[in-house]
Amino acid sequence: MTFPTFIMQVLNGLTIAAIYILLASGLTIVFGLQGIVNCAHGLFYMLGAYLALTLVGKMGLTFWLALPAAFLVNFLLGAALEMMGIRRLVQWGRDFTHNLILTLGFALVGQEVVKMIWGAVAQLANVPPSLEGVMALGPVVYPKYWLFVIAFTVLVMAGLYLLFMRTGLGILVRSIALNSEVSQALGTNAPLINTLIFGLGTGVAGMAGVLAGPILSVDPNMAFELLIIIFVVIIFGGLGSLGGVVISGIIIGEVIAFGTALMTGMVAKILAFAVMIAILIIKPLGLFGRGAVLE
Amino acid sequence: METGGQTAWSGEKQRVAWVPLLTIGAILAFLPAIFQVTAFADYLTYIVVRMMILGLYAMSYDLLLGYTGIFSYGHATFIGCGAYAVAILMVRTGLHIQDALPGIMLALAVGLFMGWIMGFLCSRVGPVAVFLVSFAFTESIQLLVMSDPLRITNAEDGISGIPRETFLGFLNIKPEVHFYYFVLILLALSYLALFIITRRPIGDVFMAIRENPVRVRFLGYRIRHYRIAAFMISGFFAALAGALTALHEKAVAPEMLGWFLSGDAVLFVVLGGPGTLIGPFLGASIVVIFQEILSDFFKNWVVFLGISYIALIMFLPKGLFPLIDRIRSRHPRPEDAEAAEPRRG
Amino acid sequence: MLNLESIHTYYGESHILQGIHLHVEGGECVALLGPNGMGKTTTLRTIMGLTPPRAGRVRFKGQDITRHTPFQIARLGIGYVPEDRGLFVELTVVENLKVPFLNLKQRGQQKWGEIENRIYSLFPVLNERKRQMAGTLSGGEQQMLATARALISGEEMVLLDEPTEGLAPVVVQNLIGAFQKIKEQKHTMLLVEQNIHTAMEVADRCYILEKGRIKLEEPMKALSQRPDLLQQYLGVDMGESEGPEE
Repeated sequence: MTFPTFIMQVLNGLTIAAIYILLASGLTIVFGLQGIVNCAHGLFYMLGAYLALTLVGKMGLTFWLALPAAFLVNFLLGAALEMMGIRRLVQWGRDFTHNLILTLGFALVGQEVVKMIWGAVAQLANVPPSLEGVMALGPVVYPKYWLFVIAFTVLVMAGLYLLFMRTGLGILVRSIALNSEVSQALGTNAPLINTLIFGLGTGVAGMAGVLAGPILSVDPNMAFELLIIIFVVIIFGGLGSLGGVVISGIIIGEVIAFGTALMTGMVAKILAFAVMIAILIIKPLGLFGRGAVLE
Repeated sequence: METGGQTAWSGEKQRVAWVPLLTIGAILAFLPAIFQVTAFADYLTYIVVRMMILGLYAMSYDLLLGYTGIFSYGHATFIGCGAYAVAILMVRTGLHIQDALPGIMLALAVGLFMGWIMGFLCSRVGPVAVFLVSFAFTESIQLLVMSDPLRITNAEDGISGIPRETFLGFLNIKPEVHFYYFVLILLALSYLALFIITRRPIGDVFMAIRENPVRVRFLGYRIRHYRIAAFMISGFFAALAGALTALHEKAVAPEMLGWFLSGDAVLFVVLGGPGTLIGPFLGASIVVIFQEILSDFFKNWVVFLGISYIALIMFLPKGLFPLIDRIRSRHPRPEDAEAAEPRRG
Repeated sequence: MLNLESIHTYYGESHILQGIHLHVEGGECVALLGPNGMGKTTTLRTIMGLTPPRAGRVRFKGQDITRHTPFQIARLGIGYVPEDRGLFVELTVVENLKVPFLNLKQRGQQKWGEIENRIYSLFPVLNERKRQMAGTLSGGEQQMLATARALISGEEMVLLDEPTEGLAPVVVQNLIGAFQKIKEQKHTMLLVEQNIHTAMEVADRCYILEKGRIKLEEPMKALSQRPDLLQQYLGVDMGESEGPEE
C-alpha cells in the first residue's frame, strides 16, 4: 500500500467513524441515563436520510436547511416515542426487555412505513453543490464533502461535551445518570430531562442520516444494518461513555475501512461481531464503561 | 436501573390446562379429515403443518424466554442450523440418504451443539449483552452461510430438492397427510418432554433464575450451567423444528437464519403468554394465520407485526393465553401467581 | 407544617408502615427513633414520594402531597439526605451543590454566590474541597456535603436519614454543632436517628417507631429523664455511649 493510499484509507475510516460516532452517541447517552436500549435508533437515522432526499432532491430545499430540519423532526418524533411509550413502561416498573420489544416494534413499523412512502429501491443522495469536488491535502486528494462530514462531527461532539460538562443542564443530566432517585429528591425533573436527551440523541441520529446520504446509499434496510455495528461501537467504548464512543468509533471505523479494502466486507463484519462478543465476555465494561451491563 | 427480580411475566405455577390441551389435540387430530371436504385440502394441510412446526419453535423459545427469563434474539440460529443440517446431509454430501432419520438426528445434535455454544457465550454476560451477543452470533452464522467458505451451503441461493421418503425405513412420510401426522406426533412428544422438564426441579431452577438470579446464586446453584442447559434444550427442539421445516418445504435458504425469525420467536411467546408452553404455540398459530390472510391483502403486513409488538408489550405483557385460561377456568384471578415469587421485604 | 395520617407503606407484600401518624411544626426539630429495620427510612421515603404509601395521607402546609412525584415534593422546599448520603460521586463538590440550586432557580431570586456563602459558613471544609470529586471526601465531609445539598433544596424543611451513622465521635460532634446552628436559623428538621445521644442534643420532640408503628411521642427532655423508657424501647443504658452501628 502506498503512502497516499494509506492516508486515504485512514481518512475513509474517519469518515465512517464520524457517522458511527454521531449515531452511537445518542444511543449510549440514553443508555447511560435510563438504562434502556433503543432499537429504533436506526429508524431516526433512516428518516433523516429520506427526509433530506425529499426536501433537497424533490423539493429543492437547500442542504443547509435540511440538516436542521432533520434534527427537529427526529427530535420531536423521538421525544414523542419516549413520552408515550418508554416513560410509561418505566413508570409501570416493567423489565427493561419490554422497552427493547417496544422500540423493536416501533422500528419494524417505521421501516415498513418508509418503504411504503419512499419505495424499496436504494438511492444515492446528492452532495450539496457548495461541497462538491475535491481538496488537496498534502499528498492526498480527498472529497470535500467527506472532510466536511468529519469536521461536522467534531463540532457536534465538541458541542455535546460542552453541554454535558460546562452547563447547568449538563450537571443535572450527569446527576440523573449517577443516581436518578436522589437527583429527583433534590428537585430534578428527571422525566422531562430524559425525554429531552432522548430527543437530542434521535435528532443527532437524524442529522447523521442526512450526512450519510451521499456516502452510504439510502435504502430501507439501512436502519438495522448499521445498528448492529453501532452496538459493537457502543459496547466496545463502554455503555454510557461519550469519550469511549469517540475512540471506539474511530478504531472500528478504521478496522472496517482497512478490513473492507484488504478482505471482503462479510469477513470484516464477522470479525467485528467476534470482537464484540469477546469484549462482552472478557471486559464487559468496554473501554470506559461504568457497569450496568453485568448483573 | 433495577428491576429487583420482578418481571411482569410471572408464569403462574401451573395447574395443568387440560381443557385447552385436549381441545387443541383433538382439533389437530381431526383437521385433515375435515379438510378433505374442502376444495383446498392440500393448501390447508400445508398451512397447519407450518403452524405446528412454528408452534414447536415457539415452545422451544418459551423455555428460554418464558421460563428462564433469557431474552435472546438469536433463536433463528437453531431452527436455521437444524434445517441446513438436514439439507446438507441429504443433498450436498452425495450420500443419497432417503430416510429422514439421519437428517433429523444430525439436526438434533447440531441443535444441542449450537445451544451449548450460544449458552456458553450468553451465560457469562448480563441481560442487555445477551440480546446483543445472540443477535451478533446469529448474524455471523448467517453471513458464514451466505459466504459459503466450505462450498456446502450454496450461499445465497440455498439448497433445494430435499427428499422426503421414509422415516425409520418403513414409515412413508411422503404424502402431505402422512407427514402431517408425523409432525403432529413429534409435536405432542416434544410438548410432553418440555412440559415434564418444566415440572421437574430443573424447571424450578429455571424459573427461579428468571425471578431472582442473585438469590439463586447465593443458594449455591451454578447459574451458568443452568443457563447453558436452557439454551441446549431449547436449541434441541428448535433444531427439530428446523429439520421438519427442511423436510416440509423441501428446501432451505439463508433467510431461515435471519433475525426476522428470531423476532418471530419473541412475538409468538409474548403474544401467546410467556411461561405457559401452550400460549406460545397458540401465538404462533395466530401469527401464521394472520400472515397468510394478511399477506394476500397487504404487501406491508410487517407493519402489523410491529404494531402488535407495541400493543402487546404495552397492554398485554402476559400474552393472550392467561386471558383465555382465566375465562375458561371461571376462577377469580389467582393470587398464587403473586405468592409464587419471592418478594423483597 | 408536615402531617402524616394513617400511612401504610409496603415493599412488595411486606407491610412496613402500619398506620403512622406524625406531625412536625415549623421551626421544630423532631427525631424519629427506633431500632433498625423498623421503617424509619421508609417513613422518610414515603414523605419524599420515593416509596408512595398504599393508604393514608401526607400533608405539607395543608397541601396533600401523597401522590406527588419526588421532584415536585422537593420543589415545595423539602430537602432530603438519604441514608447512604446519595452523593454524585463523579461530580465535584460544587457540582453536587449546584444540582439542588439549579432546580431552585425557578422559584427564588437567590444568587448562587449567596447560597455558596451560606453553605461555606456552615461547613468551611467544603470550601476547601470545592473542586474535588465527591467520592474522594472523607466520611464526615461527605455527610456535610449531603446535608448542605439538602439545605439548599429544603428551604422549608429538611429530612435527614441517620446522618451520624458510621462516623467517628469527633466528626459526630462537629456535625451536631452544624445541626444546632441550622436549628437556630429556625430551619424545620425531621431527623431519623439510631444514636440517641445525637437526637438528644438537637431534637425538641421525638417519636419512637417500632415494627412499623409509633409507640411513643414525647418531648425530648421528658424522654431523656425516663431511663426506663429508653431501656424498653431503644435498649439504651444511660451512661453508656453508643458506638456507631455497622
